[in-house]
Amino acid sequence: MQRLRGSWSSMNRRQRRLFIILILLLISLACTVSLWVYYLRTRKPLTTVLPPAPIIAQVVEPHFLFNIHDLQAPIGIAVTPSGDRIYVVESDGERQVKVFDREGELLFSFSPPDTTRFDRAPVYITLDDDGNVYVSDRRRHTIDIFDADGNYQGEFPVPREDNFWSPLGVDIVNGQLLVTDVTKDKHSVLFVNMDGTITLEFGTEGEDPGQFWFPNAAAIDSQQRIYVSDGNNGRLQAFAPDGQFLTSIGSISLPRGMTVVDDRLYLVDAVAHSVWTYDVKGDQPELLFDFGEYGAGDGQFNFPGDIALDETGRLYITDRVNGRVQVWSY
Amino acid sequence: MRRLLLLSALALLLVLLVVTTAAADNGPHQGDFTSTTDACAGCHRAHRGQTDKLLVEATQTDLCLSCHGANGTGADTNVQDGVYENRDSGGQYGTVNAGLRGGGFTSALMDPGMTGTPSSAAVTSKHNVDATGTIWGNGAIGGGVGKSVTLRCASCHNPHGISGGDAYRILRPKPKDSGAANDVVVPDDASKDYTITYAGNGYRDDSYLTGKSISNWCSQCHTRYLANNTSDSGDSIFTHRHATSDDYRKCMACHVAHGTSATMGTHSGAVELPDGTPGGGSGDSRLLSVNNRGVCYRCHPSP
Repeated sequence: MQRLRGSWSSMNRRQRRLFIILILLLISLACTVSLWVYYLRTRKPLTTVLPPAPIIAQVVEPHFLFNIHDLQAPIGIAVTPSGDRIYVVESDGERQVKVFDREGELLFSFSPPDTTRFDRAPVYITLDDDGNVYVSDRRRHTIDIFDADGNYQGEFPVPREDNFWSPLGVDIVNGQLLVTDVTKDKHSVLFVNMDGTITLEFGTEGEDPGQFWFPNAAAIDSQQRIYVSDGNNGRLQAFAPDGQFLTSIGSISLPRGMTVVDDRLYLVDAVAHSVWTYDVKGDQPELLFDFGEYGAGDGQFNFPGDIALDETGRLYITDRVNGRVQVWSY
Repeated sequence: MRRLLLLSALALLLVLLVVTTAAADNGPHQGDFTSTTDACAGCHRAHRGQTDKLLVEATQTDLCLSCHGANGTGADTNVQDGVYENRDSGGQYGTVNAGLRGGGFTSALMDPGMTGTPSSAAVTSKHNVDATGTIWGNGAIGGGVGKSVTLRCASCHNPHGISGGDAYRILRPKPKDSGAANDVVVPDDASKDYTITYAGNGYRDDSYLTGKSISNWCSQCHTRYLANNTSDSGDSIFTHRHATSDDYRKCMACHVAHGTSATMGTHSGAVELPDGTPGGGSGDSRLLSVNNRGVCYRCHPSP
């Protein structure tokens, strides 16, 4: 210490100033390198590494309301705009669609005629503007159409020339079916007219940008950009309205069901047991928050599968292994 | 000293690189396991795992079924129903909506009555995942009925593949808790055909690809079921045993690996277990692929 003090006193003023500048430079370099290493290791957007911007801090997150129980491995979910009917697909038990009212009371259930639980595997579900119900069936390779009361209306026409497809994620957009197809070697996203004519198809099976591996859901924003929950690739991909690849967000454990409402994208992560929420107004989806965690308590998930929103600000999330639907609200 | 530290660090780096490369050699789940991999976080948490192996979920089964379950949102092989749910252009991976060779865990698409028309039905017996049971015949001659273990998907399969080459259905060379001393690697099925054909001796012949190595693998757990002939083994329980160690007489000629919908009649359902417990009746099917003891008839038909 005495030697250090001696060295310091032996320096002239200019040397001392240089020494202090050097120390400050070293400290700032160390901070920069540390931040950069942390960023590379976490691969999170800088918005999550840096202190949150004031606007992010002001975002209101939803809160848990109540559970709807007595469901066998619920997977897909859809809800009417008013929230008076909640359609839930069971992937175990009788493998049917159960319909609940706004308070979570069971109204009725339905499934395709002339089928048993052993030869059907309903997965995802959506509603059109008239309240008709579209259900993808992994085992039957169909999209089954029902009216709002569960009366069977028939199968959606298969759009492929060889009369075979494996529809998975379903949505109705501008009077067209927006569907993900997981036919072996043909994992892709399709827009299909109600007569079965394909108007847009993009994507192939693979891991490169623009490719898919079990795409589980697709949805559009107000600018008609298309978002795809790219399941086994663990990412969210965005495409221009003509299907051109735009961007990709990785580091999602196992993305499943997804919906976009008012340019807010909700993506269910089955293995993270949470819902990632993005603002998609800008050029790049911006993570706002995620909600939910692993567990069996209120507001906790055990392999969530899908999400739907009504116009009253309620969010409905299937909680597969916990055998329930969770209702949240803003 | 400084040079020694530097050499140690280099050696450690080299070891890590070799281990990473080897572990990623096989299996459908390996992804890109590099030093910058994103795949690990899909299933593991370094400090917040919910179960052993630092997995994020409470049971392995829930994780496996999130892709391989009945909803099939991440795989074509639905092991819950025992069905292959897709069709590729060349038919390489199997027949769409045909039964998986291993049967199923909840239901199975099989033809145990040998009617020529397979159908799905609830399984009557299975390798009971997430349950504790006896590994019949585990251990050396004179080792009693076998030890008790809790079975998981990863008891038999390694989701990360195996080092040194491809293995059939990513089977572990040493199943967990088996007590096996040596590795048994079942060579991979190059055709990747997951489905069974029902005609004739489908179960026996379709699993021919793996040859007798599958018997060697099954006997990593069911040690004393492996036999060359029916002579006295010296074991008080598994004394005289059907030969199981050649291409014809192998475990998969009679049994399925996951679960079966076969049903048993009066005599077959009354066959006692190795520990003397009376047979469980019509549902005590012991993973046999044919009703009753119909598997015998496949190789020993009536004159």
